[in-house]
Amino acid sequence: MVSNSLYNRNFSAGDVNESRESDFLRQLELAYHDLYGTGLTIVGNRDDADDVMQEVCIVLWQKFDEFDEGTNFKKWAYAVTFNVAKAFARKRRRRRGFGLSDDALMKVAQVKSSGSELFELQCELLRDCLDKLPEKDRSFLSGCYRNSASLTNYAREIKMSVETIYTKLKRLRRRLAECVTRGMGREEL
Amino acid sequence: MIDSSSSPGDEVRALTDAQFDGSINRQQMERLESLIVNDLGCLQMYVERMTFHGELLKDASEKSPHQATLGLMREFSRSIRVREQQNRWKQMTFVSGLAAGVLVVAGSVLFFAGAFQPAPLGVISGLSANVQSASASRELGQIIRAGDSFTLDEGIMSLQLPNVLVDLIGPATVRFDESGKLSLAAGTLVAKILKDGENFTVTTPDAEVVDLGTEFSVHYHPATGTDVSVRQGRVQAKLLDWRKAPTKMLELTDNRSANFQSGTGAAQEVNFNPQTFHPVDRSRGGIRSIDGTLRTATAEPASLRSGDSLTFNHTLVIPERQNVRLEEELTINGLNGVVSLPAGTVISSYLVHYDPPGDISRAPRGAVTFLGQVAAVVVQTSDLVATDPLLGLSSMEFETASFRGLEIEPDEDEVQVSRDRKTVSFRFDTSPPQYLDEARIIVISE
Repeated sequence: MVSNSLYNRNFSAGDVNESRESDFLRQLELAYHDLYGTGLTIVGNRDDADDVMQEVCIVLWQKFDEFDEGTNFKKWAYAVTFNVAKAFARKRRRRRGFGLSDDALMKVAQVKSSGSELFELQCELLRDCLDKLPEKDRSFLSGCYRNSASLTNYAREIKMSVETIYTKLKRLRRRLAECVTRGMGREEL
Repeated sequence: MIDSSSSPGDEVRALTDAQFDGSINRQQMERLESLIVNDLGCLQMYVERMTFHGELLKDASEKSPHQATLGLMREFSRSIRVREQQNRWKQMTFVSGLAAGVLVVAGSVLFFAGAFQPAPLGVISGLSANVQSASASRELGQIIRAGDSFTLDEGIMSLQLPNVLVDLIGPATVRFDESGKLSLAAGTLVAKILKDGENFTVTTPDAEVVDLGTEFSVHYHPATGTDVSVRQGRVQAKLLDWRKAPTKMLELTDNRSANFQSGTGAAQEVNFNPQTFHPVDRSRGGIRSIDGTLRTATAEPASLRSGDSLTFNHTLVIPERQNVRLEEELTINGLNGVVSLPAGTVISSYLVHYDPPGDISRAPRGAVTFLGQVAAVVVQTSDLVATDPLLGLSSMEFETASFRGLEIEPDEDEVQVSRDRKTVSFRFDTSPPQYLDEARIIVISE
């Protein structure tokens, strides 16, 4: 849901400058997956990460005039994403009555930003490991992640019980994590 | 269940998975908090695991980063419009506070009287026997109003809008914006424009399709964009950008198709694919609407012999051979006597099939209305068997036993043809031992 407080600027869709807009879209596109990953790490699940990205997109566009051309868009957008995601997580914690503390989220953000090269390497290894999965398993895994908002519906679609889906998913996640760990040449924690 | 006796790494992994899957509880969250705040290794593991899930989400995503950002910008654009509307409303409310109060009182009265319901835009005029809609039950005759959204998980749903017949092929989602305008959010629809139904408009995230008097289909999928196919007539199709502003336009005529993708800015003609229309041809043919217990079929049954294609709570109406031009005069023994159709007449045939699994307490009733006029209704077994080779589908096996036809007697089967010869209504007798009843309706093609 888009928060009304984000609309500090008084402008309409018709005001959008075409070249500025395409420049913004191009940069956002390049940074999109990293920003999504950051939002997901802070809020912890896909639905909330989707909502966070919606707000991030609005805030970035509204503040795009403040962005200094020639500086690092991703770094700038990362700071915005972290702040939006942290505010979202805080609000959700109040509503739900539990959640990671600000202190924990701050530590998570520090690790996420300082270890980006390591995480990129792990993602590369994970992509290799995914390529090694049998087609059937990969398709199942993709289905689970595409439908992670409602695994119950997905279970109905593929005529499998939810319990069986979770068991299979757990097994595949473990197999992939082990494959990445082997690729890193390190022992399990 | 998360085993706290396992290694801290395994525990963090399991807790992180529970958080990602949405199943984490308060106690587990507190444990996760404690682990990642007090142990650097666990903190590292948490971030690695979330990164792992993020990468798997990315791998599974059907959207490219380009499409994802465009999707977000569309949301953004819509939010701005909503915001502007809210601002306008606020201003109006401020200026006319007292008047608004009076209006609210009057409005409440009218609301409870049902006067503020959006105007009806159409009605559900057909359902296939396998229709499934998890979001809400859909019934024949259900009124469609502006703002309604329909999600169809399976089957075909036919909608009668003013001068337009729309068939929604599941899985699909559609929203009715206003009279003559609807938005297709997913799946396929086929629209057949009747007399004076021009300018019917279908909008997808990529394109706006305006009909200029025709029969056309629109298919939308986020990965492949919007496909528009015209079987007959003419449509104007425009590529839309993320603000829903048209950027390119193509005009399509008979047997032409085009693909539109706002993500890549592509709007190009592609090979015509007539198969888009086949599910609707097979299910509805020239049927305008059905009522009561009648349902259409999405696939031809292989066998219609007694007990092979049971109809549990419904009666099937199956389009058979369509648009057959008679090479010689056809004489049929119909419901009201002998009917002669001269050579050159173009006819279509429909088989009504009722075969419940056992004794049922209530006789099924229903009616089917066609776009063309009914020439004859064949009800006797011998006449059904005689017309099977010419009008039945060669892929289907028919019952040959004498109980196949109807028993048109008082308190038994009833069939009536309306005065305008477009509607045939039924009531089937349900007496044992044989429940199978069939009739063949021969319609003059449009």
